[in-house]
Amino acid sequence: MSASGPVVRMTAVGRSYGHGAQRVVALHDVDLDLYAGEVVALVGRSGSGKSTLCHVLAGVEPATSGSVEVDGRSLPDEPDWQDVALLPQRLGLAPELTVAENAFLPCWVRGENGEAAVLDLLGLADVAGRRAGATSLGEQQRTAIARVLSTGPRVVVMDEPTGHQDDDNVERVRRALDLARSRGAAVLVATHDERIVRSADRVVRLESGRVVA
Amino acid sequence: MTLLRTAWAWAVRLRFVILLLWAAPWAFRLFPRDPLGSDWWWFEYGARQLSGHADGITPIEGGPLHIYTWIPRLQIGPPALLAAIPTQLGNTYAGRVAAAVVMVLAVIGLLVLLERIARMCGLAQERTRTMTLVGGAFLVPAWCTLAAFTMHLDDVIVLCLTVVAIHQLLRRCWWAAALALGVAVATKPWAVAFVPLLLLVPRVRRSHAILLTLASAAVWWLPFVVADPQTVQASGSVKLDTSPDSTLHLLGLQSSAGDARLLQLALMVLVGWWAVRSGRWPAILVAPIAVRMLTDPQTWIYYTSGLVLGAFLWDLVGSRARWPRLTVLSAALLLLESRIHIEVGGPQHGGQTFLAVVRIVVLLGILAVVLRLDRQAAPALWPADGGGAAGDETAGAPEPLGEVASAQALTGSTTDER
Repeated sequence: MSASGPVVRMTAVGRSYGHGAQRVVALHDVDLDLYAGEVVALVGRSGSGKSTLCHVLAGVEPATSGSVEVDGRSLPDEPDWQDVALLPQRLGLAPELTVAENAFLPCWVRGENGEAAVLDLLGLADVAGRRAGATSLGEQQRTAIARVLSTGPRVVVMDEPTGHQDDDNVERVRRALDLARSRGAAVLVATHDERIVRSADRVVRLESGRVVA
Repeated sequence: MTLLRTAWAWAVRLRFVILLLWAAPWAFRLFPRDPLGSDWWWFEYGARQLSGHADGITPIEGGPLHIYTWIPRLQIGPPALLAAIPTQLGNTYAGRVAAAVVMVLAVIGLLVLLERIARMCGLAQERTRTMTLVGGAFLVPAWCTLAAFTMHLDDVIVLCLTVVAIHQLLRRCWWAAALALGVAVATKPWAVAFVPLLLLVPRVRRSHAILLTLASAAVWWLPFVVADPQTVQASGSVKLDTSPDSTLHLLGLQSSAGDARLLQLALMVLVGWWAVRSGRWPAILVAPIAVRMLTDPQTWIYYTSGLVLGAFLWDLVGSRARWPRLTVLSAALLLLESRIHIEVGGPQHGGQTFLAVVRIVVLLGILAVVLRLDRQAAPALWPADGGGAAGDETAGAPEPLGEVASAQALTGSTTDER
């Protein structure tokens, strides 16, 4: 992928919930490197730990063991959106704000302007001024994808980005991944969608919290 | 040993400098590098809308006075949004840092004020200073969680103004106290739980004080309500998710808007009223906040920051203990909360139930201590009303500590205002 080192290095990452008899282990000693300008598809059955891995990489959840490094430094508790940006399954949009406000929120809190081309790419230009809560679930998901891309982060993490998309819009999401790749981001996409898997540079399979391929 | 004693004496003497130095690393550690890491952006959004400085955001249809119907979830009163406007006039990062610095520094101001309150209540100076240093060491990280991590300016304003109101009551300046409480209520409606403090105003002025509080709260909201009569209704209609570590979740209840919120508010006011009426006004922060935390569908960590401040007020002024026991206990709760990952809608795990149970035990324990449910009779706020603590555990207590002295200081039964 790259002659230089990985942007992300996850080493023996474990994540468990609860204690004693109630302990649930979601991730077992996961090793994973991500390089600049590559898209890695994370596949596996529901409950295999894909979302947990995304959350741990994005700093939303702490790893209970192992280490996560971005550019050779330990991942802070609350990583900067410009370093690691996450598309969670629950999207996390503010429904009262417009599509454009949501998409460019990471920009305007930095005093920067958002890139309208991203909205075009994701087919959101026509609804940019509409409240996010008044748009379809697919549009909301693409708004959250635009938000992920808005600041040009070093690492992009997407959890099921096509879960609410029809065929045309899956293609738009795929092009958004291409955009992130072309900008040199290291991209991890948890997905069940074959089209996204086929367009990835590498596929990592999780089973019961373990990397098997 | 002598060296240690000398060092301790110097530490107590330099307590505010030490606490300021203690606050700096906490603030630095907790301040989110990512602008989206805190809730500050809501203040930025609201401030930009109200000031017409709408770079990057869409102006609200009908104008900024419709903001609360446009975004009912905002739940930040006008004083806090207006206070955030200066931070939006220049560089947004600088504004965010400045806001955090001011909010963090407020804890030192609070500690100075609280110490002054203790002195005005006639409490021993040596104990007060020691308590400030030790309790402050636990309060500072808790406060930084609120001021530098979540950056909830509205909660900071409410807590600060309530302490200011107590101070003003001790100065017999009832109108300033009433004004401060009114602004607090305008900032966060749950601050109405602290309004029973006005029971400490002499009867002849009490109704004036309450009216002034209502007026000073209403004046902030009036422009919004006039511009958009749906404002109050919209703000009260917000339905919150139930956090998996909340008491409600443990009891299998779901949150609902409207009546449930009013009931929660009524309980908070009731416990605030009871605290003041029974001569335990130093519980005015900690008791209603504990009730809020017990009955709220959500369990945000900054709720506990307020609890720690309230516990410190109790330890300092309401308790006879030499060490800030409730402050340490509530700070320990906050530490535990920060260590257990909770996600609404996330995976269920035993840690959530454990945290819920610990929180309930701690809060009920705090309520039992500050409201002294084990006692037959609480000391009277006004000695003429009868009752009183004489004959029970106050007997033999070191003077001039204790809530009786404090209540007397507030009600004018003593002239000691050192």
